[in-house]
Amino acid sequence: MSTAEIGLYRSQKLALRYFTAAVILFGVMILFGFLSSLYYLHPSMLFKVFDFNTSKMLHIDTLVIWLLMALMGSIYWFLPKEIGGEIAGIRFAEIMFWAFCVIVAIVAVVFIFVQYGHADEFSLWFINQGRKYLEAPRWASLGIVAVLLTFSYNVIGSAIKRRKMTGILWVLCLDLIPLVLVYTDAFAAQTNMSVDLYWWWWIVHMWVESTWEVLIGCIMAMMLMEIAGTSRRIVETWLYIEVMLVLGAGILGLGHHYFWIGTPEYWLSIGGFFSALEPLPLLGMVVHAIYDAGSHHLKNTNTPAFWWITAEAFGNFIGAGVWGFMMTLPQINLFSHGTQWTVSHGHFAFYGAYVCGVIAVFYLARQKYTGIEHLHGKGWWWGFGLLNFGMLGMVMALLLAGMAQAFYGRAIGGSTLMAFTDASQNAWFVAGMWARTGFGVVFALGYVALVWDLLAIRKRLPQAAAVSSPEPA
Amino acid sequence: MSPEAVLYSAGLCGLLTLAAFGYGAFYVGSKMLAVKLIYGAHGCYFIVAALAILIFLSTPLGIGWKILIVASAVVYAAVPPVTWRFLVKLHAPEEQHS
Amino acid sequence: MDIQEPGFWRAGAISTTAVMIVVLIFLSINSSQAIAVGGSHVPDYSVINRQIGYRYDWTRREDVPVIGGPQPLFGKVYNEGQATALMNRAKLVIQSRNCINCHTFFGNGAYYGPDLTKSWLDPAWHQIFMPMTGAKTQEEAMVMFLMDPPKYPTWDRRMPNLHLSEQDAQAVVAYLKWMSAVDTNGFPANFGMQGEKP
Ligand code: HEC
Ligand code: HEM
Ligand code: HEM
Ligand SMILES: [Fe+2]
Repeated sequence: MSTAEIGLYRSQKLALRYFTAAVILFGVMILFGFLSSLYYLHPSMLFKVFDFNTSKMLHIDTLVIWLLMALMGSIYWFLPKEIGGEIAGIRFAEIMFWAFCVIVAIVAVVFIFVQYGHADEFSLWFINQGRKYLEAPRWASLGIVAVLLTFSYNVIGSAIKRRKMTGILWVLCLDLIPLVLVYTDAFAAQTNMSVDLYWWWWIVHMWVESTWEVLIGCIMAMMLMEIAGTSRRIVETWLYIEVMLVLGAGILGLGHHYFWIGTPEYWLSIGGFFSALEPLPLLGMVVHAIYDAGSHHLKNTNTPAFWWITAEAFGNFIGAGVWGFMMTLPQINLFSHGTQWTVSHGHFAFYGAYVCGVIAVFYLARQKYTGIEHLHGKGWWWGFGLLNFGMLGMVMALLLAGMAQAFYGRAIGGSTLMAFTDASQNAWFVAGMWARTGFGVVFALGYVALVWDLLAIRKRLPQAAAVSSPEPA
Repeated sequence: MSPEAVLYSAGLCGLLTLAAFGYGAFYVGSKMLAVKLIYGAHGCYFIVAALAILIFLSTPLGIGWKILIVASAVVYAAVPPVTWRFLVKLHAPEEQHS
Repeated sequence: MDIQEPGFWRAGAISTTAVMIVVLIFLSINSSQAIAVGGSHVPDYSVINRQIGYRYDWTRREDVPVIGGPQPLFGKVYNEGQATALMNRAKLVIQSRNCINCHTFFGNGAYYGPDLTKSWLDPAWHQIFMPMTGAKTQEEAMVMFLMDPPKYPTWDRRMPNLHLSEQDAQAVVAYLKWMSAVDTNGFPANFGMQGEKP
C-alpha cells in the first residue's frame, strides 16, 4: 500500500476499486460496440457463432453497469467528506463490490457461451431475459437489487448514524427510492408488449433522464465544494433548482416514448411539450458550468477535470438537448423512431451527460489518491481530444445513416422489409456505417490514451506527497 | 409529412437548439472573458429567432408545435441573462469574504 | 421570499416533483386501461381469428388498424383462452431468444433487423417468402422462415437459426398477427404503400 493511500477513508478506497472496475468495463463496452458495428459491414461475420444480438447486448449492458459503478463509486468517494467520517456499513459495501463483480462476470460468461435458452421460465431466471438493457437473468437482477439496497443503506444509514442531514444528502436519499423502485420492473415478463414497454420505459427513461441526472447533480455539487470550496448554501440552492427543472420537465418527458407503443393519443401532446422543455434547464447548466469554471479557478488545480466537466455541460446540452429535440416532436419522430438516428442521440446523450462527468471524477480521485496538488501536464489531452473527436464523428455518421433510414426506409418506403433492406443498402447509410466504425477506432484509441494517462499520474510523481506540479502546463 | 419535410423540419429544430447553445455560451463568455463576445451572443440569438420564424412559416408542423417552438425561442432569450444574474446574486455574500 | 435562500428552491423542487409524479400516476392509471388486452388501443388476443388491415383514417389523420371479418389462423379458430396461452408462449420465445436485440417492436429495440410492429402485414410474405418456401398460406411461410431463416435469405444480412420448434414458430406468428392489430397512433406511417399518400 502506497503512502498516499493512508489518508483515504475505507469508503474512498472502495470508490477507487469501483472506478477500476468501471474503467475496465468501459473498455469491454468499447470492444463489443466495435464488434457490433462490424456486423453492419460484414453481415456474415461470426454468423451462428456469435450473432449481432449477443454482441450488442454485451455492449449496452456493460454500458449501464460501468456507468452505474462509476456513479456509485463517485458517491462512495465524496460521502465521507459530506458526513465527516466513515460511512455506515462499509463492510457490507466492500463485500457487495466483489459480489457485484462476480455477478457481472458470471452473466458475461453465460451471455457469451450460452447466449439464449428455451421458451421457459428457466431461461429468464438463469440465462437471458431478452428485454433491452435488462437482459441480465433474474438471479443477477436480484443481485443488483441487493447491491443497490446496500448502497442505499450506506447513504441513508450514514446520514442517520451521524445525525447529519445536509441538503445534498436529502436529495440523494430521496433520489435512491425511485432509482431502486423502478428497477423492480427488471423482473417482469408481460405477455402484452404494450404493457411490457410501458413499464420498461419507466426504468430506461427515469434512470437516464431523471434519477441519474439528480445523482450526477449531487456528485457535481459535492465535487464543487471539495475542489473549488464553493459554499454549501450555493451548491445546495443550485441543486434544488436543478432538481426542480430537470424533474419538472423530465418526469412527464417520459411521454416521448409513449407515442407509438399502443398508448393513447394524449401522449403525443404531453411527450412533445415536456421534451421541448427539457433542453431549457440544460442551457442554464451550461451557463453555470462556465461561470464556475471561470470564477473558481478550477482550471488551476486540475486541468483535465476542468475540461471534462466543461465537456459534460456542453455534451449534455448538445447530445441530450439538441439531438433529443431534433427528433422528439411526434410528427418527426414518426419517421426517425427506431432508426440509427435514435442510436446517434443515445450515444451522444450518454456520453455527454454521464461519461464526461465520471471521467472528471476519475481525474479528481486520481489526483487526491496520488496527493498531487496541481494536476496539469499534457498527457490528458490525447484522451480528451481523441474521445471527443471519435464520439463526434460517430454521432455525425450515425445521424447521416439515421436520416437516410428515416427518409428512404420510413417516409418513402413505408417501413416494410423491402424498405428496410433498400434503406440499408443506400449509399448514405453504408457510408455512415463505415464512418461510424472508423470513428469508433478513434474513440477506442482515445480510451487507451485516457487509461494510460490516468495510470501515468502516479508514475509522474517522484514522491507521494509532492506539492509542486510535476510538469508545468 | 413528405420525406423532404421530415429532414428539413428536424434539421431546423436541431439548428435552433444548437444556436441557443451558442447564444448561451457566448453570453457567459462575454461576461467572463471578453466583452466583445456579446456580439457572438447576439448573432446566435438572431439565428435562433430567424429559425423559429422559418419553422413557423415553412414547415408542415402542427400549429401547436409551431407556437411551442416560437415560445421556447423567446424563453431561450431569457435563460442566459437570468441565470447569470441569479448566479452573481447567489455568490455575492461569499465573494465579499474572499 | 428570498431567491438566494435554499429553502425557497427546496420547496419549489419538492412541489414541482410531487405534482409531476401525481400527474404521471393518474396518466398511467388511465393508460393502463387503454393498453390492457381488450382496452381501447390493444385488441383481445382472439383478434388472431380476424382479418387485419392497416389504412389511413381521414378523421384521425393517421394509419389505423382495421379489424375485418373472420380469418382463421392455421385453419383454426382460437378461443380467448387458447389465444392467451399461445401469446404467453410467444412472448417467452421472443424474450428467451433475445429477438429485441436485433429487431424493434413498436420501434423499440435494435436496428439490425426490420421493425416487427406490422410484420404480419408485410407484402414480403406474399411477394418473396411464399414463392421461396413454396408454402400455400402466409402463416405457413412465416413458420417455415422462422424455423430456418438462413435457408430463405432476401439479402446478405441474414437472420440466424434460433432453433424455434414448430409450436414456438406458430405462437410467434400469432403474436405478430395480434401486434399488427394494436393501435399505434399511426406508426409506422405509409406501411407497405411505398410513399403514395392516400
Ligand atoms: C441476429 C439478429 C436477429 C435475431 C436475433 C432475430 N432476427 Fe429476425 N431478422 C433478422 C434479419 C437480419 C432479418 C432480415 C432477413 C432477410 O431479409 O433475409 C430478419 C427477419 C425477420 C422477420 C421477417 C420480417 C418481415 O417483415 O418480413 C421476422 C418475422 C423475424 N425476423 C422475426 C424474428 C423473431 C421472432 C426473432 C426472435 C425469435 C428474431 N427475428 C431474431 C435478424 C435477427
Ligand atoms: C441525459 C440525457 C439523455 C440520455 C442519456 C438519453 C438517452 C437516450 C437513449 C439511450 C435512447 C434510446 C433508447 C432506446 O430505444 O433504447 C433515447 C431515446 C430518445 N430520447 Fe433521449 N436521452 C437523454 C435526453 C433526452 C432529451 C432531453 C430528449 C428530448 C428533448 C430526448 C428525447 C428522446 C427521444 C424522443 C427518444 C426516442 C427515440 C426514438 O424514437 O427511437 N432524450 N434517449
Ligand atoms: C462512450 C461510448 C459509448 C456509449 C455511451 C454507447 C452507448 C450505446 C447505446 C446507449 C446504445 C443503444 C442505442 C440505441 O439502441 O438507441 C448503443 C448501441 C450501439 N453502439 Fe454504442 N456506445 C458507445 C461506444 C460505441 C462504440 C465505440 C461503438 C463502435 C464503433 C459503438 C457501437 C454501437 C452499435 C453498433 C450499437 C447497436 C446499434 C443498433 O442497434 O444498430 N458504441 N451504444
Ligand atoms: Fe427519454
